[in-house]
Amino acid sequence: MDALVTGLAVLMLLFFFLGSGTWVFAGLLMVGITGLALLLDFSPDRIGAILPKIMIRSASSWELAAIPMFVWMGELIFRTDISDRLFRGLAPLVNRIPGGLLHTNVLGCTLFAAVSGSSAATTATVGKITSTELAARGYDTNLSIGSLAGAGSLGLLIPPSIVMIIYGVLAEVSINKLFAAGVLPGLLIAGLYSGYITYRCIRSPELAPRSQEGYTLTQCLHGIWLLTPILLLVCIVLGSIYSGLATPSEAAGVGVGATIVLIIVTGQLSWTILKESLMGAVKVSCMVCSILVAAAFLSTAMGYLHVPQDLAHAIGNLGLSPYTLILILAVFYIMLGLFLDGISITVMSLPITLPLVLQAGFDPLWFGVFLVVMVELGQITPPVGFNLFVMQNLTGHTIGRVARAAAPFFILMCIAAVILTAVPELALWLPAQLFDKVP
Amino acid sequence: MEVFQRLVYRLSRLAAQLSAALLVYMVLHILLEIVLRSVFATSTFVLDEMVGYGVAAMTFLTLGYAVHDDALIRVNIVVSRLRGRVRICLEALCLLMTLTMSCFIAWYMWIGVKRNWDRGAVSDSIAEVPLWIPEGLVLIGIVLFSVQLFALLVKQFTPIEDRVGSK
Repeated sequence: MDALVTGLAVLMLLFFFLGSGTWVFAGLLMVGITGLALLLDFSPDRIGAILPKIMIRSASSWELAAIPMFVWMGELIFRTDISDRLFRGLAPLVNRIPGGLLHTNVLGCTLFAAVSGSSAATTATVGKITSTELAARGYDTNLSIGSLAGAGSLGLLIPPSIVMIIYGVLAEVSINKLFAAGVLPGLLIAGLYSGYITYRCIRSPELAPRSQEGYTLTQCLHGIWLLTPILLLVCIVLGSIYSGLATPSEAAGVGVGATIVLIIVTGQLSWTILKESLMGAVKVSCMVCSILVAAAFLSTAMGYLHVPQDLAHAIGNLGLSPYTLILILAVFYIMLGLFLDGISITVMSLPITLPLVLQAGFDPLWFGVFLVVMVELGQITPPVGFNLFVMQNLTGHTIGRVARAAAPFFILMCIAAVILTAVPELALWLPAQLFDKVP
Repeated sequence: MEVFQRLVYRLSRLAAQLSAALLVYMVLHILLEIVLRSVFATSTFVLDEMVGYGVAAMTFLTLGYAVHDDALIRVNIVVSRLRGRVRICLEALCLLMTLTMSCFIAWYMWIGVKRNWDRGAVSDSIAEVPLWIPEGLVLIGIVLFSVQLFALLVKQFTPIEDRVGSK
């Protein structure tokens, strides 16, 4: 009962501070501070002793370093013709499918996710190009925003992925295996999205204007040629991880290096591009990292308040069958996802949910993938959904409008979660093939 | 007042440029580390520590610049529906709450940095970096963020006078 009251109080604080329109990172810090002050009677001195320490410690983490570097890589790609090529290369390939260029959202995000570890960077980079192009050609705004927000979250599932690195560290699961486990489910979700777009556009063709441009086979081949730079970067980033040359965090540095070499080789490097991409990157990564830092403090505050522990104990005491447990966990994660970002959710809940899940006989590798899908769902649910924020920034629509557009894709991802639970081999098959070869 | 606004923004941008330099340094250090490890089988031994300081300093040094350029995300369901004075009041309230909080953080962070300075505390790695250096950079970031928030707060109230005056 007490846990319920505390939980509700924290929820109210979240609604108040975030709803009032304060910057998300500041709002999360304020919830933590007022929560400790009001609910636990912490003195300002005591909060002041904890807060800066946690902020500095969580900001100086090595895992976090992957974020600014992947963002910088994205900015470089965005400002050169590599991103433009991504769109021009995909366009002839998807043109004949009903829904046409809308599929560039899904495919572009899937490809870009393979060079980037963060879903916010994926959504922002692909979205910057496709949202203007699609609007200019008269595609349906809702479908184009929704597919972008949905597909953008694939960045978490398709390696390299920052959330997976964090899960791997916490759950003591091999990060390379986790990366392999995410590939097939990621492709499944991309497939579901494309299928849905195709279905919608067959039902109501006005959503996607028939393009006048017919593409020949040569143009399709040329399209594939245009995609080579991004494919090359995918190979370099993933190759550096799988060959053991670089750790997943270092791979971000390798990616930046490779991108700069590629830009020099194609003769596009200029002082302006370098300067603008850097200033853009520090801004975006400041936005992401400051929220992670605030979330780290909030989760410590929640820990003092025993919110996650009490909730998880309440679930654990029910004595549920494995599938009911997973269902309840799914609901629990979607609820958390309404308010918190993926990394905080993972860090906060894992100490309690992981033992529960292992006890019920689930594979930790599988649960990692399942958790990432849950976190992706959280990215596109209001009021706090990273991809919604990114899309809001990008398109200038309100967050409510963006969330409504993303709703069908939310449901599709729920379907993917059900399939993943029913057929765990989807996640486990590829890592088994790659790493557990029978001698 | 306009001079003040411009000066603050220039400071924020300078700090952001320092962050950009730190980002370049981090990438170079990682590449150096990989080359050392794979070709010369050695290491700089301080990669994660230095990169860690880099990320922390970067994040906080950019805050002021990011808040000025509207790069920090916020939930704008309520604010976007308001107009005129009510909106300005709510914006001011947000700025004021955030300013109070950042001053609170800055004050306690200052206590920590000063303690590290007085005691000459160093990190427990082979680099033995005096802890006041990375923490001081974070503190500078928070202070600049507070100053930028104050400048934005002042700006919230200046145009309303103009608008009333012009009508």
